[in-house]
Amino acid sequence: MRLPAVRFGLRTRLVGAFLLVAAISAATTATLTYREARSAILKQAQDTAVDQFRDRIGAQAVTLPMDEEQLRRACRSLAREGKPHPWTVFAEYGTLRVSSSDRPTSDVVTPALRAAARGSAHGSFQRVVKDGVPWLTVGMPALVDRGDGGQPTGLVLYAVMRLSTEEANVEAMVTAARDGALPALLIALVPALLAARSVLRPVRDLRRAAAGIGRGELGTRIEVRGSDELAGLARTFNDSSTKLQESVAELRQAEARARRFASDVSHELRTPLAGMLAVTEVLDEDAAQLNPDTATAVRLISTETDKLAALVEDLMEISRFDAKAADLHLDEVDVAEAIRKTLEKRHWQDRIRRELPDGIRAMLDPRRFDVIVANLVGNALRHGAEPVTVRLRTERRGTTDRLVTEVLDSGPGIDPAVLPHVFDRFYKADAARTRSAGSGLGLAITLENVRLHGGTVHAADGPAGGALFTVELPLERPSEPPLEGPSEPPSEPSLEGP
Amino acid sequence: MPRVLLIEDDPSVREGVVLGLRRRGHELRAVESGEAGLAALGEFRPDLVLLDLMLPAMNGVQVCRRIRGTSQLPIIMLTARGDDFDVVVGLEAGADDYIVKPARTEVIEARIRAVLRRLAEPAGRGGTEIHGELAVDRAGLSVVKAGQSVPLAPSELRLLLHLSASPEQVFSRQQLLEYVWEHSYHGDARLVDACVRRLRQKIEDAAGSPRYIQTVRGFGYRFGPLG
Amino acid sequence: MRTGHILLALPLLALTATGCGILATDVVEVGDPAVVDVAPGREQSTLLYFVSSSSANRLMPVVRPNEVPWEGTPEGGSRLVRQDADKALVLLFEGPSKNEAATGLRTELPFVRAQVSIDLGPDGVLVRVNSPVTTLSEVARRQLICTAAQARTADRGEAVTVTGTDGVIGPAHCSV
Repeated sequence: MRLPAVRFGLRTRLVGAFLLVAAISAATTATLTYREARSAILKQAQDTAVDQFRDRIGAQAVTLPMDEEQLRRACRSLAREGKPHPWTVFAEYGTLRVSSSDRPTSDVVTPALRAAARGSAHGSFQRVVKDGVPWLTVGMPALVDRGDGGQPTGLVLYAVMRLSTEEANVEAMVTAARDGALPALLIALVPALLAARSVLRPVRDLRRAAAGIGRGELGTRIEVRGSDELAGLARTFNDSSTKLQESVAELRQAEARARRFASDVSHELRTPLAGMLAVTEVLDEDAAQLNPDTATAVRLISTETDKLAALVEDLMEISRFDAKAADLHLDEVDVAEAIRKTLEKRHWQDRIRRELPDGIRAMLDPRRFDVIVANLVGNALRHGAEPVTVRLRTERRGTTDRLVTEVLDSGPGIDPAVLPHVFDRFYKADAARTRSAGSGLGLAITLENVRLHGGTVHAADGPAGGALFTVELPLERPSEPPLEGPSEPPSEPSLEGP
Repeated sequence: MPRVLLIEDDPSVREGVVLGLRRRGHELRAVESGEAGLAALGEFRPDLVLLDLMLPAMNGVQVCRRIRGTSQLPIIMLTARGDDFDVVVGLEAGADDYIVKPARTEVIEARIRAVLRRLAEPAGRGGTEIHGELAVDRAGLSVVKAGQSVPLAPSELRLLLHLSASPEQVFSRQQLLEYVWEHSYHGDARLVDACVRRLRQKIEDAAGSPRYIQTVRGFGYRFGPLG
Repeated sequence: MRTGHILLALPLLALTATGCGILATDVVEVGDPAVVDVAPGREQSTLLYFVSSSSANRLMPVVRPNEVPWEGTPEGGSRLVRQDADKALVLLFEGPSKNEAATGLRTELPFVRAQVSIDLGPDGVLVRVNSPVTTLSEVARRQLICTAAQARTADRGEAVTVTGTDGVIGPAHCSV
């Protein structure tokens, strides 16, 4: 069986359990007390009634046999003396049935009581509930003692009284118990909350610490208090996080070593490359005069040196990102102009469709933005198919403006299996094409540059097929209105040192 | 053909650059340390210095300062990308331009040409212009402030001439990179900023509140207004 | 779930606590019966046992005041007592009076003008009657024995032997 209680919080359940225990003990105590008190009340009433009845009867003088009139007198006399409750007295003698009331017999007195009263030499009583009304019935045989021990006279007297006072008392107790229970539970709520608080504090600490670990604050520890189960848990938690911290530190060191190695390798490669690159032109120019085999070999060396230089540059760039040594040199840039210049620099301007609205100015690192656009367009030209479109626009997202640059080619689009890896380093989309014109780092560097700007880049298939790369950068507009060309200075420029 | 002094400690780079530039007709002298480079200045009388930043003993920046102490010779630094701090320091020390290694000979030669052209190119309109206390002689390529000649490095002079040719017109850093340094549009704007700083130290009365070379925040620089 | 059971038990408990007021009981015996004074006293009265008409086997005592103070002298006390005792059995054989019959008393003894003598012997009370006794019913015999024992001794538990014209009953003890 699953109750909604499962969904309650730990605090609620603790408080609930506490209140439940409080309620059960209160109810049990109340019930037991109530039963005892009720017995005491009733016993008191019964004993008093029986004793009084016996005494009053003993004070009567009778003749034997008794006639009806005498019997009635006795009944009335007894009825008058009924204390603390008025009682009705019924008498049986032989065939005579007389009472202090109008009716000669009682319908409250049970046959069992009559049998007991007539058949034994003892007084008896019985509580009877008739129509919801509690009655006390007392049966008392009258004996005569003529010096040889008592013997029955044949006279049996019954007293019948309502237990109204007792009933009221008992009900008052029930009411008091019920009315006392609710405030008691409310009062119990205070220690319950305090107890829950003290129990939950370590749990809360633990949660906070676990959240801290989750956020990467591996130094988070819990203060171990006491020696209970929660303290054990806290100790285990601390041990685990210490281990975790050590493992992570080791991993980070290993990763840092690996990155430093890559960085060192590229640095070391660069000096010989600088020398080689300076002379590749010499090789190219003189190749024509060499024999064909040597010429081919020389041109190969020249070409590959260029590629190697580009690869080493990309590796250096990636190493700087990994070392977080990459700086952003923001400048106020006309974005459409910047993209046009990027395309011109690489002589792509005639191969690319441009949708570049004028007048969008943004704070960008011009060199890094050039790398972003060049890598995406270069990738589109290499892996997609022409025409390639570069599209620029601004969008408003909530309270911030975004600068959106899209590069769309007309190729077959991106293989879904490749899609998650397009920004990976050295990821080859096509296993057969092990060598491509790019270094294999172009898109990874693009991603890092976009991130450095606080933007996002993602790849998808365009609406009409073809690969679509979308770069979104936060757009920080200049505080002054954009300047239209170099001929119009602003009327009130702000002046300051650089 | 220009005479180029190359100060580079790495033999392979030194030999490669020498080989490449000589074939293009440059007259080259290569030395392997800053001290040797400074010693060669007087004797070789180069038109331009190619200066590696990472040198043993006296480093490139110190060499640059020493040269600027006596001469406004064009200086191009050779540097590795990522040595950003050294680049900034080198530019502050008075270098006119820099080249990131490894670089093809044609790139090196293009920069050399650009720097030298700044000096050789006639400024169009002749005569001396007066801007406040500044007297700019476009033909004589000299600047006099309050009667005192102001020695300017080639990049500084070229920048001042370009800005003062269109007073009160704002140029972006990218534009200045293209016009003055013949760099690509996406080049290193720190070249411009460092050059402006150096120029201000030489021609402004108080470098903190410039009068001639003014910054238009978010856009670039302009000359004046002197008002 | 355990919580569920407890939650279910709670209203049940509350019901038990609030739902009961005063409960009925069985018949409970409490101590002695009442003892009444019967007038006239032992010296001025004779005790007879008749049968209650409401319950067939029950003897009910009847106290008859002695009609006149018995004449006699202090020295003839023994005779006096004996005559008293005789008188009691005579009255018993005469049956309940009109008043007594009105309360439902009856006798199982035959109505006879009995010649009765009661003596106290070493074996108890000896009764002699001039009528048949062995044919008497059980209740009738008890009437006879109890009345005789009561009349002759202070102890109604004394053994009584009744000798009639047709035989002897007893010795037997009175049980009321």
